[in-house]
Amino acid sequence: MSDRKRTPGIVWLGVLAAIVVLTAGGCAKKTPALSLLVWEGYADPSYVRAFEESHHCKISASYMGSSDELVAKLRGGSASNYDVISPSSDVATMIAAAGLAAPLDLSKLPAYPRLSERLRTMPLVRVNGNVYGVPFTWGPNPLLYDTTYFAKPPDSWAVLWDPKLKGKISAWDELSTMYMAAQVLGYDKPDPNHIYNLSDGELDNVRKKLIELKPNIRKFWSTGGELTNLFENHEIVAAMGWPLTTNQLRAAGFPIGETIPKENTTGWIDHLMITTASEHKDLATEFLEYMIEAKTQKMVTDVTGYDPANSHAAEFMTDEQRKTLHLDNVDEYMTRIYFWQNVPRRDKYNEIWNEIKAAQ
Amino acid sequence: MTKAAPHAAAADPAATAATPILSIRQVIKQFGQRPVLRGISLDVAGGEFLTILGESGSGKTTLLRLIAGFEDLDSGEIWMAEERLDRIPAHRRQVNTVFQSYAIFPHLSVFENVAYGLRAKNTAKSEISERVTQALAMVKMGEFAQAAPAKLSGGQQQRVALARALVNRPRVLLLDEPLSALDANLRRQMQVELKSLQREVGITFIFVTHDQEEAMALSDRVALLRAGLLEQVAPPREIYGEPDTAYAARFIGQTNLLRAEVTDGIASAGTIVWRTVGAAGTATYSLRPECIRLANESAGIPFAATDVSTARFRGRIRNQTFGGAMDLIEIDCGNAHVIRARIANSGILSGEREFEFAADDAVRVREGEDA
Amino acid sequence: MYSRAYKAGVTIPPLLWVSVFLLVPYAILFCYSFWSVSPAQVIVHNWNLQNYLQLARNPIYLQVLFRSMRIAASVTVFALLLGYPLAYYLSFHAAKRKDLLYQLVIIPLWASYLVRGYAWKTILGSDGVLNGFLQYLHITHKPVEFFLYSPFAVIITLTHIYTPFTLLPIYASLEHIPRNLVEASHDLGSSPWSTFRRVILPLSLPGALAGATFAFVLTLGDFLAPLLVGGPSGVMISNVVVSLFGAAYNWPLGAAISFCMMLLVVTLLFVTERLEKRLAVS
Repeated sequence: MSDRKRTPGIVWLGVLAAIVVLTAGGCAKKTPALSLLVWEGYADPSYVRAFEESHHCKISASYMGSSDELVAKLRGGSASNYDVISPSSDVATMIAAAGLAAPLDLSKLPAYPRLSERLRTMPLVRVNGNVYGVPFTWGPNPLLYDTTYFAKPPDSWAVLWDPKLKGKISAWDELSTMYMAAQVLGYDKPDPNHIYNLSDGELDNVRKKLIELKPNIRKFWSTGGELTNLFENHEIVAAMGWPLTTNQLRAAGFPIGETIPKENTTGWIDHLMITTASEHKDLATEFLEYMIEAKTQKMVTDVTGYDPANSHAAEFMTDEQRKTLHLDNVDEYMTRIYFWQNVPRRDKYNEIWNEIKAAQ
Repeated sequence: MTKAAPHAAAADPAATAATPILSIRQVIKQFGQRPVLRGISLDVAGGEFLTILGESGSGKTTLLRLIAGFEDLDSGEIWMAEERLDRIPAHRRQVNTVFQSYAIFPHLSVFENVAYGLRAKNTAKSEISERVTQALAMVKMGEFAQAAPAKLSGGQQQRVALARALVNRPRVLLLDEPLSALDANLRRQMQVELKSLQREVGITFIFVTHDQEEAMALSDRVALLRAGLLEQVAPPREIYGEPDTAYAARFIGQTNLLRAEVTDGIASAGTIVWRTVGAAGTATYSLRPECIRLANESAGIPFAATDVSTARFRGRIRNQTFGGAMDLIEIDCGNAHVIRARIANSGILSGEREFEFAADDAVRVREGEDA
Repeated sequence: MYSRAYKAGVTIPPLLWVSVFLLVPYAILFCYSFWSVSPAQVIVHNWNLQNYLQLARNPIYLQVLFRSMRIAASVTVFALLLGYPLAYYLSFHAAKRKDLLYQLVIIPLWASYLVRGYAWKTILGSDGVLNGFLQYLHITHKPVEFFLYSPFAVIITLTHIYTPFTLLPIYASLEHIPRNLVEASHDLGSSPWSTFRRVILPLSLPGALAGATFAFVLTLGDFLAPLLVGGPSGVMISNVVVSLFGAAYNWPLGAAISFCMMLLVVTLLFVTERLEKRLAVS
């Protein structure tokens, strides 16, 4: 047996050694680290860094593209990879009920009572008398448009179906696009919440309506950055988006307009939760407290353009900023937003959504 | 091997044919900075079996590839009858090649391999079938027509390669060491067949080999190539019997090279003295081992005989190798001077003996440039 | 010949590797395909054929599969059209430039898939290099939209990404053709073109087939290109799988599709391998 022929064994040994070394390296944690799975914009260095310094820890964030992605990740066994999550109002209840999040000790969250009472008292994250999440931010999914293309703001979602916009719009790769079509079809009358529990017949109409929209769709977007790019590269002129996109495009000097059309729009209340599997629950609780403090909330608003759950954040703002965020008239503004709710037949919605995407 | 008959092949018709079928004129070829052929001129007569003989690196395969058209020459010309050959591409030359490693197309049957050249010339189907069958019969491969080449032995592939080339009736057939991959017995058998085949079809064969025995057995003429230059071109008997150079003498057959001083028609190498012709001075003589015989000592002819038409010398038998009809004997003549002789079997010899050879058998040769 | 320890040393690790990282996951996947998701979004182990029936009943899945196969076939054709001549040039005519050109062909393989995808985005976009160039030359007056976010973009991107995979086996098969066969063909009176047709092409077919299989199978399983540069209707079968696993949390249905795809690909590989062997022998 020559040395040459002995090589395979040595190679295998090397591979084994490499695996051992790599996994060993992964186990050796020195500074505590918090891992976040949150919406884009919720781990901006402008406020996260201060927490890292004061608590001598490291924060790493992954961004989610849709509520379903978050659920699928938690369900699929990745829950133990994350300490803090930011589910929206559509899946927060289900996550709490499924035991994927840990109940919170409100006594360790002194800022909690200062959060908007309306948001706090919603039944979304209350299961069996426990509170599983803190409201963090809220906002609408507004209609964004390129102001150089639209002389005056479009006043209806129906504008997206305009044949003149062939290949000029983008749609969110998320169930919200279905809710929007349901609104255009008038299924939000009389009960706005009906769009979260449509019948088979209504869902079929939504499917048809959205397949009609497809010639106008240049590209489905699934991250805020992607939508920002589509506008910047002049691929599209209108889309349902996030205030975050508006903020980013304005900062880049892009002529972006944002409006809530006459049909109103869907919106969300994002909550911060701690996963059941988290090994750093105390640190995570301190992070939650930090994130809902009025000062932090103001900084989050600066980055995202979302409304703060802690209305005391307004104390740090200019009048103009308060106006932009409708904080001067919150109650009226909130009536324009149909906040996401638990969708009982989410799998059916998802199936239809996949069919819409797969259709020719 | 018997004593070479000088001039015996001089009248060979091939060597003196009036119009050569192939004419190589002052051909020079370099690979990069390395000269491979340094000015080759050679005429080949129609129907001739010419062997290009040389050591590896002598340029013999390159010369063949120039004729076939696989390489471009740097200067010189190659003519086929009235046609300038070196200016037309390989596929238009009426020349076919049998490759050293056969180059049988692995994806085609034996039949299709042989038909390949005919199909390239759009020959009629019926004619293809007829000629291929004939060609395969000629090389005794008729029953393998539908076989896949991978299933054939080396010798069988060699026959297919021959049939594939001959079926096109080329004016010149080039053979690049075609037998070198065969084992010794098969090789001798193929040599015989090749020679009779060539007589049968009457096509000019240019055969490249490094094996001098093969060259002698097959050829009408041998062109001995040495480092890109032709050393000697002659029929086998002539090149053996009367080598022009020491190199030719040594390369073709075994020989003893004797350095001699020539004065007044007498050559003397040490104590060996014989009659010779040619200019006085230092000269080299080639003496084939089989030209040496045991002297009849009982005849009592004195050692320093005046009759120098037969040279005599004494030496001690150093080594004797049995060789069937003739034994090879190494004779130590003193001063580290060893002469090899082939002696018809006369039992084990030993001690100091006297030997003799005919003066005519010592052939005066040129030393060559770096011998 | 070899000691038992040596034999065990070289055979057990690969077997373990294959079992742990291939066979076991496939078996688990196969099991999933017979389970279902409860209304409470929990995967329950009640064995049934519901997922396969759904695939057969809902035409959308076959439709997407056929679309994926069409795209894969187009990419295969383009990869062959690009890869074969380049491989031929490399093998027969590149001479001293051979090593350099070979490296140039290989280097893109080291670049990240995403980088190459984004590169095409900047080339094909409405504000992209190609549209800018065409408008500069006054060939077009407004951006050509089908360049990006279209099947066209997917095919171009995947052709770019998978052509090296097609080229390499072709190059290898061309390199394996003894050069004296080419000389023999010329010697027997075949012109260079006829030599290519009668000798080089048939002998390189196994390589071309292997290359085509690479391009087809890799494209069929691709999901990033449709995501990056594909249009709203350019969803391919792997995107459906990704979305079933990633967003819809319908692992059982995703597993059923994956298993069908695997069956398809394995059948394809089996057939092409048989074909390659036949081509190689005859």
